[in-house]
Formats: sequence, C-alpha cells, structure tokens
Amino acid sequence: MLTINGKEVEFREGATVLEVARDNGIYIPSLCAHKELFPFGACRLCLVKIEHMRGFPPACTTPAAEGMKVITEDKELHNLRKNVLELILSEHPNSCLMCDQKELCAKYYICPPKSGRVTGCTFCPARDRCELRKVTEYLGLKEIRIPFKYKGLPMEREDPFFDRDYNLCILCGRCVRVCQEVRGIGAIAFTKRGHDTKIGTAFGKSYLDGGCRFCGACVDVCPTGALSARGSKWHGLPEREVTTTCALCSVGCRLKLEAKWEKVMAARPDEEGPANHGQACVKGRFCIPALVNDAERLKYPLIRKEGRLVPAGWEEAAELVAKRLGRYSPKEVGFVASPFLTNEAAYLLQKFARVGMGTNNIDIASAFSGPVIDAHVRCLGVGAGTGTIEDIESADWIIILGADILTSHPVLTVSINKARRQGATVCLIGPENDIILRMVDNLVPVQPSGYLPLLSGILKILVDREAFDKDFVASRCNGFESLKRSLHDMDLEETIAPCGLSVDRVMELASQILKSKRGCILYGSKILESSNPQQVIYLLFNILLLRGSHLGLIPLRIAGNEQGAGDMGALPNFLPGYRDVSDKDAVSELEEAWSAKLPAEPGVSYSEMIRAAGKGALKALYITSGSIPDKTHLSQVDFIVLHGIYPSPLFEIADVVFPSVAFTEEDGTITSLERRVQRLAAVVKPVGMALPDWKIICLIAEKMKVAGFGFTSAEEVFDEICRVNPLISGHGIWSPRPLAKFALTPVEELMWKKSDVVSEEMPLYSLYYRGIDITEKVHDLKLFYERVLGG
Amino acid sequence: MQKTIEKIIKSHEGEKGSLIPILQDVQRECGYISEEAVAAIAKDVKISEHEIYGVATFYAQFRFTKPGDHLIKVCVGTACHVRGNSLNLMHIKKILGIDEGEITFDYRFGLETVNCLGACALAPLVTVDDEYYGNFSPIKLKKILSKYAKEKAGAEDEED
Ligand code: SF4
Ligand code: SF4
Ligand code: SF4
Ligand code: FES
Ligand code: FES
Repeated sequence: MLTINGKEVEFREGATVLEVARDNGIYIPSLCAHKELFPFGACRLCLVKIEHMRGFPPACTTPAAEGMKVITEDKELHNLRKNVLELILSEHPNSCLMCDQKELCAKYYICPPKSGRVTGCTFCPARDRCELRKVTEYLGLKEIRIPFKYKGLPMEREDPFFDRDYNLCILCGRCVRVCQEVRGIGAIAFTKRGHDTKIGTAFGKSYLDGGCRFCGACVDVCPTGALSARGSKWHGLPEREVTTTCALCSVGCRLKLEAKWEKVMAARPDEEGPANHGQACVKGRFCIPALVNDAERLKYPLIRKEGRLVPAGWEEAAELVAKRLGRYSPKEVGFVASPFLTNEAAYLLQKFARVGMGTNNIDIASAFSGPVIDAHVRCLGVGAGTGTIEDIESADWIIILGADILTSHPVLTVSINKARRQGATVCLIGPENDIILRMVDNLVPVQPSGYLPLLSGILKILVDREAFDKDFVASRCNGFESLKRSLHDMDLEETIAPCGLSVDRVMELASQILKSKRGCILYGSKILESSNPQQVIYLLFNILLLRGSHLGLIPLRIAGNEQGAGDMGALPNFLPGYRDVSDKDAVSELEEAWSAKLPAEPGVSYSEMIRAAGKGALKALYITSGSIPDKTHLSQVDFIVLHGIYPSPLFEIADVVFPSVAFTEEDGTITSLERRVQRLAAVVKPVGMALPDWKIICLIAEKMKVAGFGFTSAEEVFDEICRVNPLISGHGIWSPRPLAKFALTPVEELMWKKSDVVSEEMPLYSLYYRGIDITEKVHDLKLFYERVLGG
Repeated sequence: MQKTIEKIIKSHEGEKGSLIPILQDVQRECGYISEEAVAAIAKDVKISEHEIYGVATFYAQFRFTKPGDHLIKVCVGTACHVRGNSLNLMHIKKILGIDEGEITFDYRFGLETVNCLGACALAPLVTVDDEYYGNFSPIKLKKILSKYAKEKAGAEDEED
C-alpha cells in the first residue's frame, strides 16, 4: 500500500512508481519509459515528489515501496516539467507544437504535409501519434524561451522499409532498448557523446550491413517522427483499424491493420496478441500492404477457351468445373490444399473431396507437413506439437534444431530471449549466424546428416546414466525396454562420429538437458535434409519423454495455416481431428454428420500425387495453392482447376482459375504452430469479383448438387467444424487428449533408412504466400532477404 | 593485425567486464579501433558490434581511424597561445593540407591540438610523437617534417 496524491493504492512487488500510478489511472507525463522495456530515466519528465526522498526522483526508475507518499502533480512539478520539456524541444523541431494555427492546421491541413524534411510548420509523419505532442499539450507549453537549434543531420533513407530523421530524435533510447532487450539484435546503439550523441550503427554502417532484421519494433516504440515506415508515413490516420491474424507464417501474430480508401495501408503489431505481445516481423510489419494491394491481383474467374484463358462469370466457370469434375472416377482426381487456406476452406475442401468426389486424394502442399504429421500422430495421437509459446518462455532449456529461426519465425526469438533472461540455456543445433550466436549459450554446428547420430548419442547418455524420469517412463511410456536394448550395443563414440562432435561435447549437451524437465524443443524444416526426418522427430520426442514430460515439442511449421489445414483433415490418410480413414467409428460418425458415404481407401500424398500426375494416372487436379513448385509433371493432367490470388506459372496449363482472396479480405480462422485457433477478420472488401476459397468450394458443390455445402458465412462453417472435429471446440489453443501411454521409439528401428520425402519441393523459409514469392511483390524484402540469405 | 586482435581477445578470456580493457589493448597495439577489431570482439563477448562501437565512442580515448605514423601535437594552452602558437598551427595546417583531428593522405602525419603540455617554458611548443620541439617557428617545420618523412621510407617495407 502506498499513497499517491493522498489516495491509497495497492501495488505489485517490483513495480515502479510510474507503473503503479498508471495502473491506478494517474497520468504522469513520460517519454522514455515503455512498458516492455527496462526503466531508463533519460527524459526526466516523470519527476515526482516522494516524502523523505531528496530532490525529485523520476517515477519511472523508482521502485514502489510500502508506505511511500508520492505527489505527482503540483505547481512546482508542473513548472519543472515544463522546463525539462522546453530543453527537449529546443533541439526538436517544434513549430508544429507551438504554432498559433495548430488547431486549424490539424483540421484543414493548411500546410503542405508532404515534404522530405520535417522542419518548421511542415507537418511531421508522426503528427497523429506523436507522444511529444501529447505531453506538450498536457503541460500547456505555449512558447520556448531557449533558442531552437536544428541539428541539421542528413535524412537517412538508404535502407529498406523505414526512414530515419534523427533531427526529430529526442534520445529517449526506446529504439535502442527494444532492439537489444526485446529483440536481442542490438542493431543500433547510442554513439558518440555530448552534443554529438546520435542513435546509429558501428562506423555508420547501413542497417542492411549492420544486421538489422527490419522487424519495425524500433519504429513502433519511437515516440516521435524520427523513425517512420516509408510505405505508410503520409497516409495520416486510417479510416478504420481491424485486428486480425497474420497469415504469412505460423507464429500467429495478431496485427492491427489500418485501412483507408478500401485499401490496407499499414500493419502494426497488437499488444494484446497472445503470441506476439506487440511484436511482429519484417513481413507482417512492412510487407502486407504491398502484397495484398498488388496490381496483378486476380479479379475475375478465367476459363480456357480455344487454348487461352479468358475472363468468365462465376456461374459459367463453376458450372464448367462441376461438369468436368463429374466425369472422373474418385481415383483420377487429386486435391492440393494450400497451407494458407483458412480452417473453414481447408475443412470444406476435404469434405468436398471425400463427399463430393469420393476420394481421399487430398494433401497439403508442403513437404514438411507430411513427416511432421505422421510422426506426431504416431507419438501423440495428433499431428501437432505439444508446446506453446508460453512453454518456450518458461522453459529451463531450449533446443532449436534445424531452423534459421531468426528468418523463418522471427517473433519466436523474442520468447527465446525472454526465457534466456530468466536463466534458460539455449542450444542451437544447425545453421548459425552472428546474431543468433548472441542469443544462444551453446552452438552445436551439426549438419542435418548428423542430427540422427547426435540425438542417438544423447539418448544413449541419458539412458546409460539412468538420467531419466523413471516414474514417468514406467507409468506413462511404452517401449522403454526396446529403446534400452537398441542403445545397449551401441558404441557412443562410433555413433556420434558422423556428426563431427567429440564425446565430451555431446556429454556437455546432454548434461544441459539433464538439468530439469521444463524443456522445449523447436525443430525446423532442415530435418528434411536428414536421412530420415521422421526418425529425427521420434528421437526428439524420446528425449522429452525421458525427461519426464510429453510437453514442449514444437514443429516450426512454415506457412500460416499449415497446422490448421492438417487439423481439418486435408490429408490423404486422416479425417478431421487426425482420425485414421480406416477408423470405423470415426467414419461412421462423420458419415452420419455429413449424411454421405466416405471413401474407404486412403488417398495419395502430395508428392505421390504430383508423381502420379506425371505418369498420367491422375486426370484432374484441384490446386488451391496458387502454384506448385514443379509444373512440368502436370502437362499430362487433363483438367486443372486453380485457386489463386496472383497470376502464376500454372496459368499456362490451368483450365479454370478462380480468384480467391488474401487473408486481409476474409473472415475465418487459422491455427498457429502452438495450436492456437485465431480469428481472421476482413479488413477490406475482396478485390474485384474475388471470393473466399470456402465460398468457391460451396459454389461448385452446389453446381454438382452435393448436399451439405449450403453455408452463408465462415462462422457457420466453423460451427460445423466444432461439431464434427473432436479437437476443435472454439477459438484459442486446442488441447489433444494426452495419451494414456506414449510410445518411446527404439533407435535402430528406422535408423539410416533413406526416406522418400522430396525435400526440394518447399523452400525452408516462408518466402511464399499462396504460391507466390513475396519478394517478387515487395522489392525491399528482396533486398533484405538477399542480404540475410546470401542469395 | 587480425592476429594481434585475436591474441588480445584471448588474453582476456573469461574475464568479466573485459570490454574496455580489450578496447584499450587494441588501441595500444594497433593504434586505433578498426571495423575488423570491433567485429572480432563482438563475436567474442557476444555483444553486437553496434553496442561496442557505442560504448567505445562514448570515451574520448578511443579513435576509429587509422592514425598517422607520426602525431603532431600543437599546444594551444595559454602560454603557447600568447607566444604565437595559433599562427604556427595555421602554418602547419597549410603545409600538411589537413585540419586538426585529421591525417595526411599518405598516413604519414596526424594533427591534434592540446591544452598545455606542462612545459610552458618551451612555449610555443609542438611535439611530434614523443619529441618536444620548443620555441617553435614555421622555419623549423620543414626540417622536422623531412626528418620524419625519411625515417618512414625505411620502415615501410616491413609492414604487411
Ligand atoms: S528494425 Fe528491428 S532489428 Fe532493426 S533496428 Fe529496429 S528494432 Fe532493431
Ligand atoms: S529514434 Fe525515436 S525511439 Fe529512438 S531515441 Fe530517438 S526518439 Fe527515441
Ligand atoms: S512472425 Fe509470422 S505471423 Fe508474425 S508478423 Fe511475421 S510473418 Fe506474420
Ligand atoms: S519517463 Fe521517467 S525519465 Fe523518462
Ligand atoms: S601552454 Fe603550451 S605547454 Fe603549457
């Protein structure tokens, strides 16, 4: 309990006076404090009076204490703050803050706002969010007695995505701190001293050269117009702001998208986002407008007439597809589900394949998803990971295997940093770079071919030393004896030889894992380059189980809804909820729910489908992924239907093209890598005549007179999903029923067997959206990726 | 130079708060803190090169450009000033074609000003490296410069 301005308030241990005041609705002006950052005490605006304390302590750096008596506002403090602000403003272009015409100006924009340089009355790109303005207004500062000094620094615009005008910088240090503390990058720092102090890079390097990841976190925390996103700085306030989920990768960041003139203008991370807590990455923060407003977006259906694709109406196109599809037998048709489809669309696509076409030939267009799902179903009963982002943050040890997480899932590094600050040890097995090196405690430079030997070695150490959770293994795991036997005759040194590490090094690694059971393992698509990706997953799972928990395994899925598309049953061997197509109960349950007969025979996988197409065994392909990497196989296919949002190389051979919508234009849900079902909300109207994928499928089903597709909204579809899919009951993280017994996998069983996964099919980074390389649409992203991927 | 830097970093292995001492050693051995040095240190202490640069630029003692082979210091303390050293400074600037804080194109000379070298009796005073040249005048300059220029020519071949 402490008193602020005579009012008694409660406080949380470790909170600062500023935080306590804010929590209780008491405003104290502040500029350098930020709730995600450690106190800094640079701006001196938050000065308060505290009984028995000398001078004016800053509220933001003073920890709250029992019995404190704080005064946040009186004449003296007010004047003091005014003086402080005057000093700040004497180096910050301030006529826009002091101008007599201020009110008129804001209303009518009487001054030309669009200028490369912010000096006098010319408005600043941050005018609508500037925190300096808010403070100035609060303090009622009307004039500045100190002569204004313009720093005359050059505008910095040679880097992609955002501009920097340090003439507007007030040196609050938020950008530097967010980059170091939250993102763990440290791409910028305070340089020089005294009057020359400036936020900058080592030796004035460009941000591209200096290792900036262009996550935009610095832009978002800057209280002034010093940092501004180039693409959206001159649009002013948006007409509306809609919170939706980013679909560009599987992290599931919540973003606030800003719309004006029926276009998506900008995206800012949502502080309430359960996965991202106000952070985003280069793609989500800067690339969405260019991506979805692209001039080449498909606007109307196309059908092939006399060898050429020509525009057509929905009716005509849908009827054509219905007529043609009707001709093929179930075995001759294949469905490719884009991992960017919403849950609703993926669900209806598989329902249509099974009910409408009588085939299980449906799979997700991702080379990574097959091995992940099969291995996880075998270990856990569901094709999903067992870890959440919260698990990462509270883990004691973290292993990252086979992923360049900084590029593929940038926002997860924020959680990893958080865990590390709380004492977790982080071990990276796989590709290294300078920045990730600073984020890990233990770098294990092992090539994908060494994953299996390394993991087998670790297992052997755990088992030989009896360093495993015996109770858990005895009560919850099957197969321990055979695992032990498989390890028994193994020679440690010989086994780990191919990974190139010494026995000591592997021991060290194992002992890190031994420390506790709150572990978390994140693995990425580089496991596809190992000789047996599934075995890698089994061994990782073994390690978790031996440590006494099945929780904490996270496959770093690539595309936005790779997880959800699988949950929805867009798979050749599984029905919705990962129930086997041969599971009698599941089949009869679904047959009843759908009032239709289901095909009994399992379908063929994505890569088999493409192969079968090459041999002429597949006559019709229904592709929702916009494009597929290797179209040469498809020339044999008789009839190709395509859902897409951009023109693609498949236009040469597609017979019908349906324009579908970008994720910013539809309602629905997608599921992130932590199994979190999150809502998509339409920000703007679809482009041209484009329709959401689920509607297109309903249209065709209706033309083919297939019952059970009469949906009028995505919500209705979701309701049906909740009814028939045992895993999904609403939004939020769905939880698999934990198995009574988990299976430990013996090491020899599958080892060193060459798998038949075609790993070239999918890039390892989520560079793609609906089959199109994002860097083709966003030039700045190309510049950045070329630098980080060295391409 | 790379080797020197590596050696310095090694010698501080395991030390806590070793950044400043490492930087000092690098400056002493190499004469300045180069980009390569910062990159190498960054890798070792797991702090980004920008943060290191930020820390280093905070202290006046570090320099980030290759120094000249010989550093000319012109005293502008009161005694030297009164006895005409600002004229000397102007002259030196003109002859060398550089400003204070700069080095000549051939890296031969660097120029700095200092406030009182504590040898006011010798005013006006100019030093080159550790040599004191008291009672300095423009006439002396040429002779002094040529002395150092010659010295240099012999030493150059040993450098890498
Ligand atoms: S964009 Fe991100 S990585 Fe780059 S300087 Fe800003 S916070 Fe740091
Ligand atoms: S650029 Fe912005 S966030 Fe960074 S120190 Fe300056 S005012 Fe603060
Ligand atoms: S990390 Fe993934 S979900 Fe988050 S903003 Fe980036 S692309 Fe979108
Ligand atoms: S907010 Fe407290 S000093 Fe800036
Ligand atoms: S003033 Fe020049 S040495 Fe003292």
